Formats: sequence, C-alpha cells, structure tokens
Amino acid sequence: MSVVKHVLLIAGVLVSLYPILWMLVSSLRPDGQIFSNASIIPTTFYAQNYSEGWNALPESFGTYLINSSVVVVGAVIGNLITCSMAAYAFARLKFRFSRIAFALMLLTLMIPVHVVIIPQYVIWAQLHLVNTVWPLILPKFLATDGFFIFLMVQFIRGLPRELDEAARVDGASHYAIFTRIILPLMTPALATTAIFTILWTWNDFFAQLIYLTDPGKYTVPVALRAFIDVQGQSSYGGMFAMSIVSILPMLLIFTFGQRYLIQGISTTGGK
Amino acid sequence: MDRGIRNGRGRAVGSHQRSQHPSPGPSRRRLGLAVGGVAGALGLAACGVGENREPPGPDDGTATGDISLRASWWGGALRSEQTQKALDAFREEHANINLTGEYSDWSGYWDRLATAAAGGNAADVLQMDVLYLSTYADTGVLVALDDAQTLDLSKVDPKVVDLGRVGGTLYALPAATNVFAVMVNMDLLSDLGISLPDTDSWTWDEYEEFATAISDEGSGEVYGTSLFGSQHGLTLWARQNGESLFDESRITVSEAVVEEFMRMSLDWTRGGAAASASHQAEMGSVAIDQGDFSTGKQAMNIATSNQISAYIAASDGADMQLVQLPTLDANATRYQYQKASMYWSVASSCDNPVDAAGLINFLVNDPAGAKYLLAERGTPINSDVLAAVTPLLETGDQLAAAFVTKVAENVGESPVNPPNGTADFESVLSRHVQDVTFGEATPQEAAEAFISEIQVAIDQA
Repeated sequence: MSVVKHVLLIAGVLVSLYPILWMLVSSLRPDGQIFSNASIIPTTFYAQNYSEGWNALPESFGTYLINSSVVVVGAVIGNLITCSMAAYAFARLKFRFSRIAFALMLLTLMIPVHVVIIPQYVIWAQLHLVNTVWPLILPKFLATDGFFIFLMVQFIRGLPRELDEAARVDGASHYAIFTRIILPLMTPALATTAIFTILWTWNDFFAQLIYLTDPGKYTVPVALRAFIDVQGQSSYGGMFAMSIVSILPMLLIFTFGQRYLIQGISTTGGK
Repeated sequence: MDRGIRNGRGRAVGSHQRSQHPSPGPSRRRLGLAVGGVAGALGLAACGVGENREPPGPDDGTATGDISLRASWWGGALRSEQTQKALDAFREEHANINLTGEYSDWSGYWDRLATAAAGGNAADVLQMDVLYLSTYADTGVLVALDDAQTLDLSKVDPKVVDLGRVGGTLYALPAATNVFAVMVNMDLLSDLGISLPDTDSWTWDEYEEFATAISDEGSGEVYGTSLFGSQHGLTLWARQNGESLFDESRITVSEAVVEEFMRMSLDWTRGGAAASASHQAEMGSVAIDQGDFSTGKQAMNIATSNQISAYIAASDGADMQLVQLPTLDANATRYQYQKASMYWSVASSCDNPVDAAGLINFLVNDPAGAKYLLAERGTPINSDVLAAVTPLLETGDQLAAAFVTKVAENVGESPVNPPNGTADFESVLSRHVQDVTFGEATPQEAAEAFISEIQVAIDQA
C-alpha cells in the first residue's frame, strides 16, 4: 500500500517539477536547440547564456534584481506594520460600523483587479508619482491587502482574550497590548504574511509594468520580458538563464519559510 | 498562491510566438477596448498638432523653453539599442528637450499603453501597429498629424503616407514598409540542377508547376514552397482578383475568391508543391531559424520582404533572392502595395505635439537619426534616407530595400486599414486553411465559414 502511495507521489512530483527542470536544462542550451528539444536530460553545458543574459539588456541584470528587492522590502514592511494594526482593530476593538468596515474590507478581496487598475492609475498619474516605486509600496502602508488583514484577524481571534484583559488590569494601553502581547504571539501569521508578500510582489508583473516606465527602473519580471521579441530575434537562452537566477531567492525563501507558511495558516480560524 | 503564479513568470515563460502579428488574448483585447471607452469618457478629445500649449517658438511652433518628451516602443534588444542611439542624436540637436525612451515586449506594450492612455499619461511618441491604429485613433488617444509643420512628407510616397490615415485623417506615419514576396533559396535550386523561370511575369499555374518539379527532384528531402497564407497574402489575392479584403466595417472579399484561395492551398498540398498537411501543421509554430526554409528543406517561401534578413542569418548565409509574386495575369494589374511594418504616432495627452512630431520627423526623414535605425523596422519610407542608409545595411536588408523600391514603381492604391475586431485574423485563417488541407472541409465550406467568422468578430468589436 505504501509502495503504491510513494510511486504515485513521486510520479506527481516529477510531473510538477518537469517545467522547472526543463527551464534549468534549457538555460544551458544554445538558442537554436531550446524548442526542438523537450527532454530534461542535459546534453550541452552552454554557460554563456548566464553571462550573456546578465549583460544582454541596457542595464546589467543586477540592477533589476536590486529594483525588485526595493519594492519587495517596502511592500513587506508596509504589510507587516499596517495589516497587523488593522487586524488588531477588527479583532479586539469595538467601534462604530466595525462590522460594515469588516465586510467592506472583505469585499475588496472579491473585486477583480481589472476594475480598479485604471482608477488607481489615474490617481497616481495626478499625484505625478507614475514612474516611481511609490504606487507599488505606498498602498502597502495603508493596509490595502485585505487577504492579510483577514488572515491576521482570524489568528488574533484564536488568541485567548484573558491575556488582553490581564494586561488591561495591569494598566496597559491598547498600544502596549498590541506591541507586547498580541504582536509577539502572532509571529506565525506575520511570517506567513511576509513570505506571501515577498512571493507575490517578486512575481507581480502587471503593476510593475504599468507604473515603472523608465527602463532603468524595471523590475525582474518586466526586464525578463525584454528578452522576447515577437517580431524579430528573441534570446530565449538568456531569458531562461535569468529566470533561473530570479527564482533562486524565492526557492530559498520557500524552502526555509514553508514551516511558517503551514503553521501560520493552520493556526488561523480556530482549531 | 494562485495569484502569484497567474501574475508572474508563468506568462513570461509561456509565450513563445514569433509570428508577424501575434494575436493578443481575448481578455487583453477586451481590456484594451474597455480602456478605449474610458479614455473617450475622460474627454481626451482629439486635437491637432496646430494647437501647441507651450508658447510657440521662432518659426515652426516648436517649444523654446525646457520640455520633456517620452518615446515608447515594443521590440527586442537590438531595436532598443538602435533607437536609444537615435534618441541620443536627437538630444544633441535639441538641448532644451529632456527626452526619455521606454520599451517593452509586444504584449506588455499594449497592456501598458491601454492603462496609461486611460489615465491620460501615455508616452508622447508612440510606436503603433495597424492592429490597434483604428481603435486608438477613434477613441481620441492620438493626435492628427495633417498640419504638423515639423513633419516633412515631401520625400515620402503619398500612397505610403495614406497607410497612416484613419477615416481620412493622418494619425500615424509609417516607420518603415515592406512588401509580400517570394523568397527563393538559389543554393538549393542549383544543388537540384533547376533554374528559376522568368519571375517578373509568372502565373500561379506556372508557380505550382515549378514548385512541384522541385519537390519531384528533391525526392522527399526537399519540397517546393510554403503555402500562400496570412492576412497580407489574402489581401493581395483579393486585389489580384479585382476585389478588396476589407472596407471600413466589413470583410468585402467574395466567397468565390476565398474559395479559390483555399482550393489553391489544397492543390499545392495534395499535388506535392508544398509539404504534407500534417508536416505543415507540425511546422506551423516553429521559430524562423528552425523552419524548413532556413534548414534547406524548402526551396521557396512566401513572406514579407524584411524577413529575408532573418532567413539568411538562420540558414548560415545561403544565397537567397526576392522575386515577384505570381499572378493570374502575369503581373499586369497593380495589385501590390507597400505595407507599413509599424507606425509612429503622437499621443493627444502630449503637451508639445509639435516637438513630438519633430522627433518622428528626425527618426523617419533625417539621415542623422535614421542611420541608427537602419532597416530593423523595415525598409525606410523616405527616398533620401533610403539612399543614405543602403550602403550601411546587411545583405538581406539591401535585398529587401531594392525589392521594395522595385515594387513601389508599380503599386496600386493602398487598402483601407482592417476594421476593429480583426486582431485574430491570422489564427482564424490558418485554422480554416488547415481544415481544407486535412480534408475536413471543402474549399467552399471553409470559405463560407471563414468569411462569416471574421464578419461576426468585426460586428462584435
């Protein structure tokens, strides 16, 4: 029984790993051989793809990695600070319209992104902040990621209220309760938020494409597209090589962070 | 997790098209149209280049103070490098203009333009494609260039200028042109011991006979020709038959003419002039450098003239020639036209349209700028520029330029631009041609289905 289970699982792993392995092997093939060869057994070791890909675009690829990192760091800090504050308010404070506000916050999760793109763009254009990183970072400091607020609200609701009340009896303010009691206890939820924010921001293409127009400010996903030219010569080898470079940090974060991901999600929403 | 995968690299890695006009997905097109509507609603009314909002300069209305301009294009690394050099040259001549270049890949370019145009923040000088020209002109995103004094059209064939008109107004200037032609691999012919007949006056019957003879000599290794496909090809076929493919709102080619077009594909496939139906389907999506014409398995290829450079490079420098398309009446009618490979336009949100038009003029009409762009976008439209850059071109681009010049002596009126809703034309056409070559539909059935499918797409747009 367990043999069958393992064989099935291993087959599943191979199927889902195939695209990544193919990309890795293709990054070591010369351009002409990439699409004529679907095998994942390496036949060539064409490492020039990496050196050429790194320098193929007007800026070296390091610039794009740095640009992406700036956006990611800003987004993570913003989400951690403001989403946790909003979540504390929804979970612990009693205020007017709190239920309506909570429902509205959930509603933002359900609106398709295409509906809000243009109004948001108009706002940023009128603030003259297009072609800066602010449209990508500033919203995170305004607790606009409803998904993370919801995640943290559920987590805080699972924490015993007696802890807050004990602190309150000792004369703690809301600020003290939040920073000394709730925040330390919700580390798993914070870690989940941080990891998801990193992954989603690093992989986000559309917002970074429309807000960053100066080629020197391009982030990794936008720069990777510059390798493809549908009407002329594309450099697929260089693109795959740089794709490998750009997923390495994500792979590391996922490998070391997945414990928190599972912990953070499984402890929200009660038992 | 779904969000990360959908927005991120999956799309970047997944798209591997190299066709001349990759069709954008339906959702993207819908977004583009929605955006167009919003742009209209925001009141971005079309305005002409006469009305500069900066204080006019000494003579032609260019700004005297410091201004900034943004130029935007799609394309690969080579195009970006060349265009940046041309922009550098423009900066040297216009110290008061803070000029920046922006580029992106094909689909990213249209996503960004759709959003930015709706936000009134599009780049000032826009590279434009015929698929989107009508949409953006109709929704007021582009400026009329008819009265732009900074744009000198005296050295450009009026028929070429007409390619940029929508409803009679000039909204875009072709950046370069190309024509449809037969490419012949001369090395392959001499290997087989076959000589090329008189191509200036050959008919389709002679062409099929010649291609079949090549396949017979090639004994399974080499076959004669590609099919005569694509929107460009069908446009020319309609014109050879005295019809047109489109008017402003309809597909106008008759069913009988399309049926004959389909029958020709079937005859070539069945009779051996072209490869078998299954082989054609298999090779339909491969890149230029892996196609049979590049690898020496196909002697003739019907395609746009500017692609010959890529084919010569991919075949390691084979001796290739561009020759006239066959016709029904041995090249008596003026069926040919120069097609704009892409255009330059000015956005209506631009504060200094006169200067923006001046930049287009510099890229298209001034050898000082055009010498950096060479023929990467296609053959230059200005005769002086063409003469100036020809010695700088690679063999393939020189062949294409010479061929465009030759054909230009005998072109007819330019066709109207395809109406809105025809962005998927190529894939619809090749699907129906495939039905015919595989024997799934008769030429008559396919012609009828094809015409109604295109008309429905136009009506729904």
